[in-house]
Amino acid sequence: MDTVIQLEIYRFDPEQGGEPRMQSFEVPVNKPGMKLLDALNYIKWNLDGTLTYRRSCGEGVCGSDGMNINGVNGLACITPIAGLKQPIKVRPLPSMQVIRDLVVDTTHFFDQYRSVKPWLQAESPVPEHERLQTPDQRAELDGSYECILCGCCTTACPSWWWNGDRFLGPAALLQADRWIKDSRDEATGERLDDLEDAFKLYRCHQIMNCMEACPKGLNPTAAINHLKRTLLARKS
Amino acid sequence: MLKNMRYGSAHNGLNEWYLQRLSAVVIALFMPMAFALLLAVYDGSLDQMRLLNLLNSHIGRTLHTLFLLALLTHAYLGIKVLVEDYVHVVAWRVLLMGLILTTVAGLAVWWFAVIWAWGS
Amino acid sequence: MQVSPKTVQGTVHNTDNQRSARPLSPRVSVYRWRGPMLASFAHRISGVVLVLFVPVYLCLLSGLTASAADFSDTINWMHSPLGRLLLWLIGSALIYHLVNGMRFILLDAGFSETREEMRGSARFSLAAGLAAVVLLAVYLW
Repeated sequence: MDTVIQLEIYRFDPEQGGEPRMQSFEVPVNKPGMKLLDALNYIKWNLDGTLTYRRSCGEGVCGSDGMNINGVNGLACITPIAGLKQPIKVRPLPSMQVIRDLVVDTTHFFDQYRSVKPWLQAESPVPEHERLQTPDQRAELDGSYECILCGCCTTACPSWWWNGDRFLGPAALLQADRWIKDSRDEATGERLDDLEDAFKLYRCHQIMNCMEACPKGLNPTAAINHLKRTLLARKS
Repeated sequence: MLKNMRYGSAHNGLNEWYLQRLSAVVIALFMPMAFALLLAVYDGSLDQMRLLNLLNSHIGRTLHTLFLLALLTHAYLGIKVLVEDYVHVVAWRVLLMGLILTTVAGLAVWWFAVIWAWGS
Repeated sequence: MQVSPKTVQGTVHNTDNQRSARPLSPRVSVYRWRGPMLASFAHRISGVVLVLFVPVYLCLLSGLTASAADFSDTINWMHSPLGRLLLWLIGSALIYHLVNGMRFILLDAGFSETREEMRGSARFSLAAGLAAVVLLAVYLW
């Protein structure tokens, strides 16, 4: 492995205004198994303190540092430098309004998440201890509950790029599916009612960029297909 | 406020999505036959007499009618998806879909006229 | 799909009070094309090409079923450079659209939904389409 790596990073400064640009950096490899976030931290701490990005846990759990890395979305903290073609091109998540450098406005993304009511809705009284599930019912949620809402899938989706104001996007739909699959939830019918819409759900054309981008190895395309099957089963 | 939160669900999309797939299956059954027919005529292994014998029957006509219904439905729904994806001004979208629907209907009438006039 | 503009225009997701000078981050101009995305886009393109099939097939059929002179005219047209080109274009699009369409329907029905299978089936569709392009060209010329 090289001792120095090349990066090109998207820069935008709202105070300066003007067009965004790509800025080159050289970073020494300072530890084995170095991740992209380590390189960004090196730049911020040693070369240019104005470089702005989000990060928190640094180990792929919080979902803060989603960004476009060499053309594919992913989390900087769990993307090894070793596998990346240089110069590593780092850009903000696509089709988002850029606040500064790699920091984007996620308001709309979380509004869409909120719109699928991602919480347990149940009328029946809470049992003395807890709402129980069989191991099989619990296993239904595997592949959905692990979502950390980093936004890598939704901002990778061309359908969402062109119709993001109406199409809910892979992340929100994966979450909708997660609650529709949940045996304890009692609002399944209303949830399906809300989703049956040519724009909110049926903009998905199996492009599968969401599946390719998901840093947690989940499959939002499969979740969306499951929603479509459920809607079809309900109506036929 | 978010558009789709304000407007709720239009309760559409499912039927079109299903019809798109149903017509796809019908086309998948008939299209290879139609293409084989064209290729057989192209390389000369099927002359006009035998072609007319194939087409000019109740079975030939009925299969072709079904095929064309499925084909036009599938094409209409496919174009509709494209228009919904890329044309964002509602007025343009409605106008465009009206034009396309009219064109498709016109093609259907013309085509059925051709099919049911075979051999006459 | 056109290269995206750098500034905010077209789809504006956010609420009115946030329509500021914030640039829209690049999307289709920078996103890396992978198998499934290519397969989906090729399905769309081949579908648009297949719209041509409707009038072409109609004209061919009405020619082939008219008089004997019309029949031979139609066959001559099919053998002309334009006729061959159209048959090649439509035939390749047809085979790709058919193979990838079956893939989409199987996925809709819930088959082969793992990430690896989705990638593999996309590669299979693309390979089938490429084979159709080559084989049909060999047959027609």
